[in-house]
Amino acid sequence: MSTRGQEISRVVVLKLARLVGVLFCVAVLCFFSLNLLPGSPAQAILGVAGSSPKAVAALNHKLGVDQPLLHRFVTWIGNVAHGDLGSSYQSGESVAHIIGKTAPLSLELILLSQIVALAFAIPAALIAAARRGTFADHSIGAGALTVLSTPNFVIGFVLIWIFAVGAGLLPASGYAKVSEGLGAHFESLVLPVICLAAAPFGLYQRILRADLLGTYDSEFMSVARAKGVSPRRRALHHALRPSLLGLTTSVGAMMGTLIGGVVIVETLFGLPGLGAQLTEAVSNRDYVEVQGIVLVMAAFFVVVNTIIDLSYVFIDPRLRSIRAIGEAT
Amino acid sequence: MSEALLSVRDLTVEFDTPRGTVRAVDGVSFELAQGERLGVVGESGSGKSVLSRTVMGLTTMRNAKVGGAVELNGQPILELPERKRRALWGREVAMVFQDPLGALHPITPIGDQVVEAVRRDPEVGKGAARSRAIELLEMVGIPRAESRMKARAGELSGGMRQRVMIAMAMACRPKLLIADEPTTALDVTVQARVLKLFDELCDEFGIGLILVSHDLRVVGSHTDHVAVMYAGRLVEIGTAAAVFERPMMRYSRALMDALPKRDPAGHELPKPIPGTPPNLLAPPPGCPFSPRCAFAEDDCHKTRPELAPVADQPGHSFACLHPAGPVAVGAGAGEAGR
Amino acid sequence: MSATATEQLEVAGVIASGEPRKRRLHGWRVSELLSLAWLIALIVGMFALPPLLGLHAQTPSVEAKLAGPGAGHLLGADNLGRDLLARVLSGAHVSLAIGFGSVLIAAAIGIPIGMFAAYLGGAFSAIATFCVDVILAFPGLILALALTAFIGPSFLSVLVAITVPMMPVFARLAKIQTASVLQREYVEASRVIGTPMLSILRRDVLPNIAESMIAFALVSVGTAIMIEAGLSFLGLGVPPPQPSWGSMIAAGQTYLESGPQMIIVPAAFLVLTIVSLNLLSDRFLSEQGADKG
Repeated sequence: MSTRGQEISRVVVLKLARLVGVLFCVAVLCFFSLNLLPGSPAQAILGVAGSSPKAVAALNHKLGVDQPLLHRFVTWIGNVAHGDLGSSYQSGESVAHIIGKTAPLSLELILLSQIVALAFAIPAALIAAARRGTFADHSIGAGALTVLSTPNFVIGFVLIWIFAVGAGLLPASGYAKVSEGLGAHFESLVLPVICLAAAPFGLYQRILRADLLGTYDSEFMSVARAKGVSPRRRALHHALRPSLLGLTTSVGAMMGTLIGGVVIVETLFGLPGLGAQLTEAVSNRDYVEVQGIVLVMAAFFVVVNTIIDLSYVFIDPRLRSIRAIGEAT
Repeated sequence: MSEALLSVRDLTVEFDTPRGTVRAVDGVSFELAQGERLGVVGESGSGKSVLSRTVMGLTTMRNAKVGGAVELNGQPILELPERKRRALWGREVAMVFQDPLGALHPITPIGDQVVEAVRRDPEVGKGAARSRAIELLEMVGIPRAESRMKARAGELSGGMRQRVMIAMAMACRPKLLIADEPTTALDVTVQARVLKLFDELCDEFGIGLILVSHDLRVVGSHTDHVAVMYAGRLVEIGTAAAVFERPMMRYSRALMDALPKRDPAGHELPKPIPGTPPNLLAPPPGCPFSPRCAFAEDDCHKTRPELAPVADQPGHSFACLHPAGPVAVGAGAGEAGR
Repeated sequence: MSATATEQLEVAGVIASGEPRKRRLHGWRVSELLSLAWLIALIVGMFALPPLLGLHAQTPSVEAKLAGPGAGHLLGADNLGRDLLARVLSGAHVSLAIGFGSVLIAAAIGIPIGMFAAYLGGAFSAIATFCVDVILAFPGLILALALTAFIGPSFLSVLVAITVPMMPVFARLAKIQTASVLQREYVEASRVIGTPMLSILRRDVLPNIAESMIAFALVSVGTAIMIEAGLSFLGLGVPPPQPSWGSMIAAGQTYLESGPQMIIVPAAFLVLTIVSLNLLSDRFLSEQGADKG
C-alpha cells in the first residue's frame, strides 16, 4: 500500500478505536447519571398519592430497580450490545422499537435542515465575500446574525404566524406520513425544516464568509487574478475549497444543536419524532426510555462527527499530517 | 523607430487610508521596448510594487486614485474597466510573484494550475492544453515534468515552485513579463538559476521584462536598464552599467556604497544608509531623500529636484540638486565626487 | 515603529483585497456601541425600572387582560392582566444570571484545564481530550433536559445543566489556542531557559488567547440564554411563579392571534440580547496572530 494509503488507514483505525471507547463511556455516563439521581422511578410513576412504602417497594422490585447498581449496569450494557434497550415503564413497549418508530422522522428533519442550510449558506457566503463591504454583504450578514440569535421556537412562531395563520398556506402543526402522499408529507415538513435550518444557515454563512475572506487575502488569489481568471471561477474553484475547514467542523458540531432543536421543533409543530418522544418520556419520568433515547442520540452525534473528522482528509489533503499529530495528543 | 512596448507617463497612485492619503507612486515616467529588461530598485515602501501592479492594471480602482497614463502596445490601460483589463492579464502581460509557497494554490495540483493559465488562450482546447502545460514545465527546467503535473505546491522546493510560476506566466507568450521580487524568498544558488531562466526566456522569446527587487545584485547583472525609486519617485534611470558605475543621485550612490564589495585589500566596509524610510503620509517638501542625505543642502529641503539627463550618457537621468558625480565629463570641480 | 511600514502593509493589503475602509468611532463600530448600550440598559433597567415605575410582575388584573401597549402597561399585558414589561424585566434576571453565571464558571474551570492540557501534553492531555469528547457527545439541550427533568427544575439545576456541557468546550478551545501559542518561537525560547510553567502560561499564553476566549465567552452567554429559554419553553426551566422569557413565550402560544404581545415582548428581548452579545463578540475576533505580551 502506498504511504498515503497507509497513513490514511492508520488515522481511520485510530479514530474508530477511539469511537468505541467514547461510546462505551457515553453509555456509562448515561446509565449512572440517570440512575444515581435522587428519587426512585417508582415514586415518580405512582405519584405522591399512590406511593405507600409497600407499593413503592413492589414496583421497584418489578422494575428491577432494587438490584445493586453495578449489576443493573452490566445487565443493561449486555442488553444494549444486543440492541435491547429495555422496555418503557409507561407503556411496556420495547424502547428500541419506540426509537425505531420515531427516529426516522427526526433524522429526516435533521438531514433536510442541514441540506437547506448549506444550500443557502454557501452561495450567501460566496456573494458576501466577493462583495465585501457592500450593501449586499452587510444585509446578508445582518440576516445571518439575526436568525443565528433567534431561538428556533421564536422563528417557529414567526413562520406559523406568517404562513399558517396569516396566509393559510401551510399547516401549523400535524404530520402527514409519506404514505399519505409525498406532497402532503413535505408540506407538513416545510415550516419545521425552515425553522430548524435558520440558525445553522446563519452560522454557516458567517463562518464560511470569514474563512473565504481569509483565503481571498492569500497570495494565490492575487496570482489567480493576475492570471486573468474570472471572478466567478476564482470564487468557486480557487477560494471555496481551502475555506471549508471551519464550515465542516461547524456542520459536525451543529448536529448536536439540531438534535436539541428537533426536540423543540417537534413539540412546537406536533410532529411525532424522537424529540417529542423524549419530552414525553421525561415528563413521564420513564428512566429506561430516557436512557435509551439519550444513548442513541449521543451515539449518533459521535458517529457523525467521527465521519466528518475522517472526511477532512479528503476535503483538504494538507490536513493529513495535522490529523496524525492530533491523534498523538 | 519601433513603438515602445510599454509607455508610462507621469504615473501617480494615491490611496486613502484612515490616517490620510498615501502617495505610493509619484509622477513616474519611463518606456520599455520590446525585448528590453528593466530593473526597478528600491527599499520597502519605495513604491516599486505598487508601480509594477499599476502598470499591469491590477490595482483596484475602487480605493486608488490613479493619474497619468500607461500604454501597452499603444493601448491605454488605466481607463479600461476591470473586465477589459482582465482580458490582458495572462495574455499580453503576466506577473511573477514573490512568495512561491503562498502564490500557488495549496490544494489544486500544479499541473491543473498551469493548464488554467494555458487555457487563457482561446484557441487551445482541453487536450492540447495539457500537453502544452507539460511543454512549459519542461521549458522552465522542471525535470520529469509529466509526472510532476499531479504534484501539489507543498511537495515542490522553492526554486521549483518559482519555475512553475514562471511557466504559468509564460503560458500564453505574453509580450511583457513583470517579476515582483521573484528571488527574494529563494536561496542564493537557486536565485541565480531562476534569474538565468529569465535571461533565457527574454533572449529566446523577445519578451519585455520588468524585474522589481530591493536587491541590487539581482538587478545589476540581469537587466539592460535600471530605475531607482525612492518614496514613490523615480530618482534615477539609465543603463545598468551607467547607474551602477556612475550613480548620480545621492540615494543611488548610497545604495551602491551599501553593497558589500569584494575588496582584496579588505579596507572598505559597506556603508549602511542612516535614518528611516520616508513617511508617505506627510512627505517632506523638497527632495524626499534629503532628511537622510549626508550631502543635503538648504535647497534640497525646499525644492523638488526633477529628472535631468547626464550629458555624455544617453538615457541616463537623475533627480538630484547636488549629485554624486560630474553631470558631464569636464564639468566644474566644485560638483565633482566628494 | 515608523508609520510608513504599517502604511505599506495596509497599502499592499488594500491592493490585494480591494476592501473599502470601514468607519469606526474611537475604534468602536456603531453596531457594537448599540449592542453595548442595549446590554447596559437591560442590566440597569432590570434593577432600576421596577421600583421606579412601580412595576409588579405577578399582579393580575382583570381589566388589563391581553391589553396592548399603552399608557397603563408600557408593553402590554398578558392573559392574566400581568404587566409584560415587569415580567420581561424579571425574566431578564434569570436569563442574564444563568447566561453569565454558567459561562463564568465554565470558563474558570475549562480554560485552565485546556491550557494545562496543551502545555503538559502526554497522558494528561490525552485523558482530558477523551473526557471532553465524551461529555461533548451529549447534545447540550438533551443533557440539560435529562438532568433538569430528573433533578427537578430549579434555578440551580438549570445552571448546572447548562454549565456542565460548556466546560469541555472552553477546555478544548483553550487547548487548541494554547498549543498554537506555545509553538511560537519566543515561547519555546522561554521554556528552554527554564521559565516555570505558570509564569509562561500567565505572561505569554494568557494575553494571546484572551481575545478569542472573550469572543467565545460572549457568544456562549448567548447560547446559554438560548438553551435556558428552550428549557423554560418546554416547561423544564426555572419554575413558576418566576417568569422566564422562554416560559412567557410558551404561555403565549395559545394567544398568538388574540394577544401576540405575549410572545413578541419576550421574543424581542431574547433576540436583541443575543444579537448584542454576538455583535460584541465579533469585536474581539478581529486581529488574530499578532503577538501580545
